[in-house]
Amino acid sequence: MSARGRWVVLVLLILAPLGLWLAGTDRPAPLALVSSSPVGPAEVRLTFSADADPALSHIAVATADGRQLEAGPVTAGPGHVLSVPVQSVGAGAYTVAYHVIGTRGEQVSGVIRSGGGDAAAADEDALAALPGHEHEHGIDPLSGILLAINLLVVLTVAALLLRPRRLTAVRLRVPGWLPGVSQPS
Amino acid sequence: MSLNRTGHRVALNVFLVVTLAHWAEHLVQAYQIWVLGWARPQARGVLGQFYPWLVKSEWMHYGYAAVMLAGLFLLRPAFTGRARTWWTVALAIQFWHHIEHFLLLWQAQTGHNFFGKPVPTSLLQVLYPRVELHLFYNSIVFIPMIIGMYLHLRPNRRELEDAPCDCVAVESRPAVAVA
Repeated sequence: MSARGRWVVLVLLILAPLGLWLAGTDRPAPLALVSSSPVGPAEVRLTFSADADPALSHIAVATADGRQLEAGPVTAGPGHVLSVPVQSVGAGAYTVAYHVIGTRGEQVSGVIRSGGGDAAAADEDALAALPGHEHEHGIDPLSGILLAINLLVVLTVAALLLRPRRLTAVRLRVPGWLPGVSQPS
Repeated sequence: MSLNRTGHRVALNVFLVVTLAHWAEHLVQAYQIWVLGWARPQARGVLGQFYPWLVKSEWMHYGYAAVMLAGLFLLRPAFTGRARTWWTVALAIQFWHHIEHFLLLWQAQTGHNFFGKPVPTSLLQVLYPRVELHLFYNSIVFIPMIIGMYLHLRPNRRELEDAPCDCVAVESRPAVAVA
């Protein structure tokens, strides 16, 4: 087998397991909020359709006039529940903004308004106010373009390198030696 | 065996495999986020899926940046002509990228993060988020590096004459001196 053939086989041997692994990776079922309720005056509890990761999830509670209530760490409980202790929800209207990451990578975000219905489609202002909510959402166009350019460069260079090369040059190490001049015997 | 003479081709191949593997990890990460719909903290590429601490380790990120910088620096002498120009562009950008990772590592070690952020933050992160910023850095190092590598393996006659390494096979190699 030629050197180029060996390179192609090597690349295929490396890429095949990776492709199989990616093909076998499931797209997780969407995570959804099932129910929400303040438990007593000092805790908000959200129930989801699957287990969520409390370390990666954020929940913030605000009063109707937009004042953020101090909230403790998010904790997970049995039955796909996430709960967060808050300063005091009280009896008045409140808003809960959440961005929750499932244990299988799925995610859901939304805003719940007590007495005012569910604005789960996303209230960007309330979501942006989530403490520790640093990571980005959606597809970043520049990153997509860069990855596509990288892939294009790799494929182009690989194709050019696999193309048979014309051997036209002779390495010259001798002072005064000119290209095209026959080699001395 | 001299790195920039008889060992250049092997070293270049090893460096290329390392670089492509790193880049493939980013591609897998993009696939996990955009095709599989995973949340970003969960999209850790292939190695990060099995060793999650790797992705979070500033030492790992700094180490890779340092390896890239060292490779670009150590392998540069054998590059000639156009290849050397492209390779030098990659080296200069990687030098800055490495500084950014050094500052991230410094923040992680001292616990004092820039701009009052809760996590270590790159200088240019004030303009662009971290994942995207470092993908950008990697791209603008990777592309001139690959072009330089291609031109090194497909040199013109002048570049081949100047190259001290054996990366390109030639029809004949006169080794005798003119009497």
